[in-house]
Amino acid sequence: MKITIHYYGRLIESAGREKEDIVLSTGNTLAVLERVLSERYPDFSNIPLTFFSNSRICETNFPLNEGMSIECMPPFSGG
Amino acid sequence: MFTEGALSELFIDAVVSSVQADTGAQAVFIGRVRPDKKDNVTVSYIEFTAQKEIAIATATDIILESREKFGIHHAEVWHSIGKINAGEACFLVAVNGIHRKECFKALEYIVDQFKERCPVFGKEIMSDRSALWKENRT
Repeated sequence: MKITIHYYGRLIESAGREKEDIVLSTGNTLAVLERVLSERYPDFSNIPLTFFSNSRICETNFPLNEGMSIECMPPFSGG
Repeated sequence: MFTEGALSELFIDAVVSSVQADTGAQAVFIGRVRPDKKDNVTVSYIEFTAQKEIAIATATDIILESREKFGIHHAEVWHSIGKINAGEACFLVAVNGIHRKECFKALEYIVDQFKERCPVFGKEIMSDRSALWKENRT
């Protein structure tokens, strides 16, 4: 299944892009996606990541589906 | 809720001046870019970016929560996007209510919750052109 990941803040610099498609086996969860991203971008391992889907925060057991869009964010620093 | 560039004094005045007739108290917080020193270099400016859709939805939730918790009438939140120089205003929270105590409590709640829950990202550009990504302490 294909998942579209959108990056923000420092993650854009670490990944070298604002978004990309990642292909995972059907039935995987967010935990697997997080591991794939950390292997692809070692910097990500040192950054506490927050994931959103449909504007809601996702936990690591969140089930991923074909065509899903996931927002991947570093720590917030507004205000 | 987001505006490009620094929040001008004129803009802040306009937000603070938009008061409902039954308002008895207003509490206002203005956040500015601090010229912090780190390793003998100073913050020149911050570049702010955001996931606006989520940040606006979350800020709207936070304002509704503050109305339910503290009984305030109205609150506005504004945050800058783009380049904001040290000393310039980048964050404005204005709360209107009947009495000061609920306004003070709501103001602190909104500021703290915004910093913790809204996806805004700040990159500090130092006087030697080096850069450092900010992180809010939660």
